[in-house]
This record gives sequence, structure tokens and C-alpha cells, in this order.
Amino acid sequence: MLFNSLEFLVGFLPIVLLIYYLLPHRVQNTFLVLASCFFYASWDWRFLLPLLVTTSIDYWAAQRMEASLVLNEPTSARKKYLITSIVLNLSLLGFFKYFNFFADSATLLANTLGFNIGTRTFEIVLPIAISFYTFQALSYTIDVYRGEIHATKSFWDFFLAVLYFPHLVAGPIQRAATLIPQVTNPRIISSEKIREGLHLIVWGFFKKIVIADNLAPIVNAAFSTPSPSGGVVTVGVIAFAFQIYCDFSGYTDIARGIAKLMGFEFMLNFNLPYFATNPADFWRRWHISLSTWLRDYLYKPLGGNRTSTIKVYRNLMITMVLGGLWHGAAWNFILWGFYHGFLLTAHRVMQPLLLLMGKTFNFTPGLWKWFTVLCMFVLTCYGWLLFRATSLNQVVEMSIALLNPLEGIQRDLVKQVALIISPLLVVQIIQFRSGMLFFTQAKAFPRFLAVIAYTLMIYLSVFHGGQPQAFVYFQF
Amino acid sequence: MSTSTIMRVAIYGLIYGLLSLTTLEVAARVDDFFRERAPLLRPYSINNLFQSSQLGKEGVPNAKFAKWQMNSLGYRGPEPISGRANIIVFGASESFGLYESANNEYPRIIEKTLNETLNNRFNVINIAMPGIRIGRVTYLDAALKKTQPQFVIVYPSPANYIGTTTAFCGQPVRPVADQRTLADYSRFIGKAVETGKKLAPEALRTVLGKYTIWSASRDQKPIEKMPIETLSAMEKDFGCVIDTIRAGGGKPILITHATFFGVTLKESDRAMLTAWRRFYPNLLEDGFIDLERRTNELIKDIGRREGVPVVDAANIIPGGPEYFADFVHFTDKGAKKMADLVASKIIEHLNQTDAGQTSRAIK
Repeated sequence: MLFNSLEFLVGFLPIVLLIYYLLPHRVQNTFLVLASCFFYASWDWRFLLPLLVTTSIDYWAAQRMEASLVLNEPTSARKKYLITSIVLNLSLLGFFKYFNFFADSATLLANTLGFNIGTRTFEIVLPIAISFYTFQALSYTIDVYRGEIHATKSFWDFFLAVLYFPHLVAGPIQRAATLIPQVTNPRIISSEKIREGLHLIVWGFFKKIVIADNLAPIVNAAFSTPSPSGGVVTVGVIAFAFQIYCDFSGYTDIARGIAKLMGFEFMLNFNLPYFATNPADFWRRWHISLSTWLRDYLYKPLGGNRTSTIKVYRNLMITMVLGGLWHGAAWNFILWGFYHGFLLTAHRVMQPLLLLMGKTFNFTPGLWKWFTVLCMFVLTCYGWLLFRATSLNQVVEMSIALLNPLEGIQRDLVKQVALIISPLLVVQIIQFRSGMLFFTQAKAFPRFLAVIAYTLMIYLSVFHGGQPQAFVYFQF
Repeated sequence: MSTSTIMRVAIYGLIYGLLSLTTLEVAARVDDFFRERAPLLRPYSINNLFQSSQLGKEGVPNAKFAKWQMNSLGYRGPEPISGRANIIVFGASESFGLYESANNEYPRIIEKTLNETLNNRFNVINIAMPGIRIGRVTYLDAALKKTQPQFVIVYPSPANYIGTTTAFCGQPVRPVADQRTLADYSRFIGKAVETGKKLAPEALRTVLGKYTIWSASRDQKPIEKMPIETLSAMEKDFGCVIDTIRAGGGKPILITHATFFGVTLKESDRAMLTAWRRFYPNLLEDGFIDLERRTNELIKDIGRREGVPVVDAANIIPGGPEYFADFVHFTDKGAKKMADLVASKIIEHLNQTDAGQTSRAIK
């Protein structure tokens, strides 16, 4: 059941909201567990089994660690439960998501070297959202281990925190420290939350249905063109940059909006990422819930910035490559992670030079800033080529085509892409200049204009949506 | 909450509600203007294509809506080219064309096929009108006088005779009442209704269809099959049509009525049959199949008796969703199949005529 399906919008969501509002807090939680199970099982009821295993292991490990903490046992006692949790979680994720990829890769490598290692693969159905809920559940046990939060007493509260349907399938990856208190304590639904929730839902659907789904055929055509010209690649990659942004941030907005309608607060996942001025800035703005997760649970434990320069670079590369691999079991995701690791490292290396250039152009700070934004956007777009490509051959072919980026460019296609993304650009400029992500609350938006804007968004979503597509991040 | 707060919320709600509705209507009109060059202020719906007249109802000259374009004579399609012989297609919505892409309704394809084969000799004029009964000979007669066709293709829609037992031919004609609804005046409502129909899940459509049938037939018990009088009325109308065409100097060609259900009804197609019945709730589902069968037998019988060529589309065009977009209306592929059958019949007839003339000349 997709957010953009009629059964969700007209059936599931209104019924769930209606019943939810009528129930007292504890019953609300039980009801949300049932509703979330129904939502998840609508794909395949068997998906509930690995989710139940993950949450049970983490609940048990957290309980043991909490008990150990109360008994003042040494850290090593807690560590074994943490390791059990991490190993079992990652084994489950590894089996479902990466087993066939590594088995195939190992076979290929062995064959290349002249060995026959006879590995076998399995017909594995990848449970939707497994990457998201594994990371979310892991953050819980790690936080309990670190003593940053107490283990929750109720399994069902923890189960709901992981399973809660708005964020289950594609995030934002919520931290236990912020979500579990919202589950255990009664939630307050204010008129402001409802207003913000509705805003996020309308804007999220607009981005998904009007922008992402209308860009999808252009992107698909560009990435399925044999031997594409530079112009085709340029337009295709730029279109994909906006497609994936609107698709994923649209999903996140809808998820955050639905959560707000129920009194929950989800973390911000996107903060104008294409206005980033450098790679580090980009990762502070793009998929924030994942990048902060990787920062807190991988980069920092590896040593983070507080180590030798070479090790910092190593940590960046490891973090980004694993971040790439998190997206999927394919070499292009690893390459994409490696590319972003390289950008982060290169930016650190070049920082003194960039600072000097910034000072040189200090007489026009605006121009320098926009120049860096443009450069970062171009670099990001190349990353999207790596991300979207279906094979390494295609990466090479398209990269070569980009040496002549305007060759064979189709003006009509450029106009079409420009027309589709123009509402997003207008809104993002308002958001950027006003500093308000809820752009209709900006000064430029009197109330009547906001009513007109919402109405137009709904009109365009209903009558000018593209062919409905599944959310890109559902596959991860 | 105090009374003044409630009043304030209600007033603002009303103002913003009205603003929102106005925005939706303006957006729909601007949208139509940019996409289809539709007028901003005048009504724009499929009902713009037709008007009440002394002939009952007829097409509006040069009217346009979405993919439908009327010519200066008030018939769907392009202007007839002078110097060519005319062929008329007379029928209901199946011939007018509903679901086919623009210029792929079967009369257009007949014209294209004939002109490719016979060196640009024909205009095919589509005088069909949704809902028309073939007994409306005054309308046909007016078209014959305007166009003086060589052939007239008659493709009846038997369902339009459901509920009637008297022939239309010879009855006085009154202007048909305007059937415009709110959806014709509010572009937004029109679009919303169409989108709702497209998006509604199959299960919901079935439930609504069954409710419509139930509510329409609760005061009157539905009948199992159409009485013989209905077929007699149809037969009389066919007679009038053939006489009118011949009096106008044309050669009639009859076509049996093809449906989604093909020659034999499959159990899996019953949902589609129920969907059809929604428009004629007083006849039970199996009655439609019976009516089709009896009408097609009648058409073949009239063809034999009157010496009129008959295209047996009902037996040749396979049923199913590949050829039919709903119970009776064609897809592009269905329209092509139909056009090929009719064009072959015309070519066959022209060949026979040419051979006859040659042999008479030799004698």
C-alpha cells in the first residue's frame, strides 16, 4: 500500500485517523501497532517475521543491558549484549539484502582468477524497509548501551516505535531517544500541528506526483538510451536529481505530516540540499536522518575528526562507502558512496585554498556563494549518474558523453524539465530567502495567497500528476 | 470555544472555502485554455458539440471539445473535400467514437483505407451521434440532402431501443431537451467527475453500478428479455432507413452490432454486462445478450430480403478488452478491425459494380 495509492488515501489513512482520534492514549498505541502491521502486511505478511525477530532481539538486548547497568556490572557485560544485537541485526540485513550480491561477486572474482568456488545464491524476497528499521532498532540498543536512554519496559511501545507506519518504509530513521518518549507519553495534537501536518502532506504529494512522477519518464528514457549523447545525459541526470529529491523528500514530508496529525514529531530529513555550498554541507542537508545516524554510530566510533588527518580521510571513506552500500547491493551504490567519500576528503584537503578564494571574492560574497552552490550541484548531479546507472558500463559510457555536455541537447526536453521543476524552484527560493521551510508562513505569503497555493497544489496533483510510480527509496 | 470565535472560524472558513473553489474553477479554465485552446468564459464540455433543433438534436458546426472536432456541417471529422464521392456513417456513440485516440474512430480509418486503395476517391462523413436511434430518419434525410452519398453505412445500437415498442420512423420530431448538468458549467466539477470515474476502484464502481440498477428498478420489475414488439419497431425503422437512403440515391450497407462479449458470453465478463445494464436498468443482464442476438439475426434477415449488403461485425470482431474499451465502444484496435471489414465490403461492392458495368457494356 503506497502513500500515493487510492486505497491508502481514501481508505486506510482516514479510517486510521478517525479511530485514532476517538481512542485514549494506551489504546491508541495498541491500535497503531495493529494498523501498522496491516499496512506492512499489505505488501506481504511474511515481511512481519524478520521485523519481529529484529525488534525482539533488540528489546531483549536492551533489557539485559539496562539490568546490567542497574547492577553496576562492568561495561564488558553490556558489551556482549550489544555485540549480539549488532551481529544478529546485521546478519539478518546481510542475508536478505547482500548475500546474493556478495556470493555473485565472489564467484565472479574467483572465476576471473581461474578458480571455481561453486557458491550458490538463494531466491530471496527482500523485505521492504529492512534497511530502515534495522538502523532504527540498532540505534536503540547502541543508545541504551551508551547509557543515553533507558530501555523501554514495554515491548509493544518499542515495537510501535519501529513499526509505526508513516516512517516504517522509507524513514526518516527515527532515534529511539526522541521517538520512544512520544510513544510512551500521551501526545498533544494542537491546531498548529494539524496545520503543519496538512501543509507537509499537500506539499509532499505535490513534489511526488507533479514533479517526481512527471520527471520519471524523461529520466527513464535518458537512462535507457543506447549510446546517449552528452545533451541527453545532461538533461537526464539533472532531471533525476530533481526526481529523486522530490520523490524522497516528498515521501518524508508526507510521513512527517501524517505523524504530526497524530501528535508525533519526526526529525527533519531534507533541508534545501541543492543549496549546499560544499560536500559536508550537502550531507548536513540531504537524508539527514541517515547521515546523522552514520555520523553518530559509525564515523564517530571509528575516530571521527579527533584523530590523525589520514585516519579522518579513511573514516570518511569507510562511512560513505558503507552509506552507499546501505542503499543497495550493487556496485554503483558503492561507487556512489566512494565518490561522496572522495568529495568530502577532497573538500577537506582543498579547504585552505577555498577559504582563500572566498576571501579574494569577498567583495561579492553573494556571487561566490552562488558559484559554490552551482559547483556543488554539478558535483552532486554527477553522483546521481553513478547512483541511477544500471551498470558500470553505463557509468563509463555516460561519463564519456558528458565530456561534451550540450551535444545533441533537445530544447523541448529542456523546456519540459524546466517547466516541471519551476514550482519547486520558486518555493525553494522562498524557503531559502525567508529561512522558513513552512513557506506559506513566510511574510511573502498572506493567508489568502496560501489558500490559493494549497488549492493549486491539490489541483495540479489531481489533474497533472505523472503516471504513478513507486517511491524510489522503497527499494532500500 | 466562545461564540465569537466560532463565528470568526465559520466566516473565515466560508471565505477561504469560496476562494478555494474559485481558484479551482479558474485553474481548470486556464488549464483548458493552455492545453486545448478552450474558451476561458464559455462552457466547454462534450455537450457543446450538440444542440437541440428541429431534427431533435444535431451537431454544432465547427464545435470542438478535447479530441472531438465537428466540421462546418456539424458532423464529427474534417471538412469533406470537393470532387470526391461521399460515404455516410450513420450510427450512435460506437460510430461517433468515444475511446479511440483522435482520428482513429472507424469512419476516419475507412476513409484512409479507401483513399489509399482507390486513389483518393471518397469522403467518409461521420454523421453518428451518441444515443441516436436509427429510426431518426429526418436527421438522416437532412444529411443525405446535404451530402448526396454514394454509400450509407448503418451501424445500429440495439440498446437504444430498450424500453420502446413503437417505431421512431414517422413519428413527429421534437427538439431534445438540453441535458446539461452542473459539470457542463463548472470545468472543475467536470474534470473531477471524469477523474473520479477513472480513479474509482473496480469494486467501488461495481457497488455503485449495482446501487444505480437497484434504485432505478425498484419501482418497476426488470424484464428478462425485450418483447417482440421492440424488434418489430426496429424492423420498421430499418425499413424506413433503407427506403430513405435509396430515395436519396445512396446504397445502404448494414452492420451487425459487435460487443465486448463476442459470440458467446463468458462468466468472467458478467461484471462488464452489469456495467452496461447500469444505463438500462429495466432489462436483466441476459436480456442484453438476447437483444443483441435477435437484432443481429434481424439485420441479416433484412439484408437478405432487401438485397442490402451486410457486414457481420458481430461474428467477426472478437470480444474482449483488446477490441472494446467498454461493453460496445471500440479501442483503436477494435476501430481498425471494424474499418477494415467495412472498407473491404465497399471495395468488394465497387469491384462487383465495375465488373457488372463492363459485362453489360460487352453484351
